[in-house]
Amino acid sequence: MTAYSISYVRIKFLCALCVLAALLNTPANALAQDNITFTASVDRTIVSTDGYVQLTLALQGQVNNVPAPELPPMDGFYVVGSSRSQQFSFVNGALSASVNFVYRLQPLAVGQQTIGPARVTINGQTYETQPITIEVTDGAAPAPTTAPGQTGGDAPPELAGQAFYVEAEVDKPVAYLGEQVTYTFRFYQAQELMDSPRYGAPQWTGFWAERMEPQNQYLTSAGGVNYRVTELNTAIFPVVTGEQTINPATLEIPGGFFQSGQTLQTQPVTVQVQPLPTTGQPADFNGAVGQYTVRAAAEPLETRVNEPINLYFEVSGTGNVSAVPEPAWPQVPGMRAYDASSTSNTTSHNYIIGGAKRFERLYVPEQPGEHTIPSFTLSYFDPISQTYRTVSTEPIAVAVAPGAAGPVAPGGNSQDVTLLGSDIRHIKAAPPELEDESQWVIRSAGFWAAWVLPLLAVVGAFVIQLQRHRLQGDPAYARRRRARKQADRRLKAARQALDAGNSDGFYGELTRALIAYIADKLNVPAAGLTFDGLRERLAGREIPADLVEQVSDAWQESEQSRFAPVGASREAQQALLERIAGLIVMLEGLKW
Amino acid sequence: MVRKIKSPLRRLRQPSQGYAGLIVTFVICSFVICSFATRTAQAQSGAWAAVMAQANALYETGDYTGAIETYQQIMDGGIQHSGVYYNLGNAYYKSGDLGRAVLNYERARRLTPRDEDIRANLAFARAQVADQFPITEEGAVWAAITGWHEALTVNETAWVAWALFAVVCSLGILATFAYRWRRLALTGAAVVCIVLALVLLSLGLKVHELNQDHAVIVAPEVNVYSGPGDTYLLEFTLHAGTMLTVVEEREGWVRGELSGDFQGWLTAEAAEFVEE
Repeated sequence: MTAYSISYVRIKFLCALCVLAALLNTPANALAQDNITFTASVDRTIVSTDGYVQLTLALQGQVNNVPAPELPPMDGFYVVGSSRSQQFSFVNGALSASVNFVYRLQPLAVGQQTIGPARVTINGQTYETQPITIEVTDGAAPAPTTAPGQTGGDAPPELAGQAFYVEAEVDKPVAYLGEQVTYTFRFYQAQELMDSPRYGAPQWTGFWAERMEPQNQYLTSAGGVNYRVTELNTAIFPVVTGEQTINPATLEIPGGFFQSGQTLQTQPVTVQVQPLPTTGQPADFNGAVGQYTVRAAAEPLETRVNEPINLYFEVSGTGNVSAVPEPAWPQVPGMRAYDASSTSNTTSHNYIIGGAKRFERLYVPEQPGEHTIPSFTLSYFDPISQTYRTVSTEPIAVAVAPGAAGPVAPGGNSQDVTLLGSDIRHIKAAPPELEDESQWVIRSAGFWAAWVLPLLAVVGAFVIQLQRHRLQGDPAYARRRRARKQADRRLKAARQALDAGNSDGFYGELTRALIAYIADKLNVPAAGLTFDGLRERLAGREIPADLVEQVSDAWQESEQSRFAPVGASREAQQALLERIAGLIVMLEGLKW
Repeated sequence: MVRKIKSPLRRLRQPSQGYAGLIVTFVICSFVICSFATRTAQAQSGAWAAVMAQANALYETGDYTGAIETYQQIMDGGIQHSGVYYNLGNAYYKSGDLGRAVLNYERARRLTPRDEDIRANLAFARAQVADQFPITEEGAVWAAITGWHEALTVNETAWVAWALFAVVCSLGILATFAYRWRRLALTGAAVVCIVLALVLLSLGLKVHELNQDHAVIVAPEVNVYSGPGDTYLLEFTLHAGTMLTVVEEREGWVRGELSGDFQGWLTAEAAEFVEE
């Protein structure tokens, strides 16, 4: 129901948005109203008086503002609910709407019933649907879909003419203290709701209350209208005698898109609570009301001195079992008793509360031998037979063997006692591979080799950075470093010129290779270097005299050949190239 | 004009990219070397695992003597594994030999100091040792520092030290190349250097500690004399499970030191060395 309501609300909201968007997007309402179709359809043509017919009026066409259609007067049907769904789309550049109006109709009379034509007027033009004939058969009177726990079916007279109605009642106006009274809240609805209503339970002053599942739902009718009834049952147990009034319960129906919210209230309900009879009340009666059975058990039945046993006492049956007081625990000679604890478990079956409550107490035997735990008794008042009853358990025999030496006194609660069996942790499972873990890496050479690596990296980085600094800060050094590379490049160019037969270019490159190399090494401008100047400068260095001679010879030869009227042979050019290349290699080997 | 301004900038930017590559290469190389260094010969490790499983099965059936013998085969095969020592300790404990249980738990703890099971069983067994010594209280800060020291094995400490050294070197390289980060990098390197020094100190202490000869009393009860022989004055008696530091060995007698200034001579058979 909730899911339906949410999607319904969402559809409405989306539709509203669509309409808004359509209104904003279209400049005027006077659009072409071509191809408008308006049809009616029903989901069934034969229906019984306890059923419903769904009537759908579908409007399709290029229209952007669809008013609600006008339904024909229908004598044979009652409109239970309606909804609207619409979809807009652009077809061939024009807005096209598809709107469905869905009505839920409840037949009122048996026989052939006709749904007349519905009308809708769009921009002055009226469209009509075709009439539909429905055959209504005589159905059974509206029956509850699920069997209600108590009454049901009988609709209150105030219901007639109301869309929503709530009422509350109790199954017995007079009850004993502690006896179950069932408080029933009913919600009648003739319409579907968009959202789940919110139930506000009354204040259970003077009662102990427990909600019972499931909710009951069935149909009923009043004044020719079908209602869906939702029934909530709450078990209440009076805890105070006298006339007790239960304040109204409320139901808040949330407001929706086209509907305002409202809050419904039941009438107050009164329960007359009687005290329990004093005649025949057993001396050990402790206030338990209901029908109960009892059971006792001890675990283990064989133990040793100082090893504890757990004693259980369980009360089960119908009634407010969680309110059953702690039993009188028996004294067991030769055993020490510790604090008791209890757990209870409440259930409802056919809207009658029942369940089981389990009391537990720890006993530690102090003396070996056969011990007997005496029987437990429970006295309760049975409100059905209106008498007191007493039930008891069988005595339990426990064998206690002499214990192991050593003080193993429990600390007073069960947790400390479980630590008595404290042991070492269990062995580890074998891993898939068993490796020797005792080897120290500091004894392996590889580990220390790994230390050298970062160190080398730092030293390397430092050296590289030093080099960079020198190249940037010392142009003479930079030229010296680059001299060889430049010379090699020029020699290569000379070789290419030789291959191309460009004699002039060959000598030019070759001469420059040698002279620029020496100028770079000496850090002097190559352009101003003369033959004599070169000799002078080279002489100042620690350079063998014959090498100086060779250099000047090669230079002279290159210069002369360049400007000679008759070109040298290719072999001679090749030989000179090799000579100068060899000289550069020799000069590179020197200390500059 | 524009070109003149731009070109020095370009020259500055270009090389630093090359050096970033260098750092990456260095880090990758380091990791490769690390992984090779740690990868030792693992032959037959699966076979020893099968032996351990067999011993575990004996333990589960309650045959503690059989389990002890089988676990011992693994040790004899040259495999020292904390899980095996732990299980062996359990087997000794179950067969009632508290001294050897403590001994083997202690051996297991040395190999994997952070294992909860080992610590729990060692504490459990120690609590049952007849000789108890007062435990000295430690401050919270000191406990936190020594906690780190005790939680790591020798190998882990060594690799932590190496990693810190690599970090220092990386920061050094960064300081060399990136002028902008130089101050930060050098400060960071100095801090890491201090941590590295502490880690190396921890490593040294640990190696020193483990190189000392520790022994555990395995005899149910042993007399401790003032000299190497039972003719000397009987000073006190010790019981199974008590750990002592052996400072001297002489002809079947060992001189042991206990916490709280107790020391004396006892027969060598009564104690077993923790380090095998």
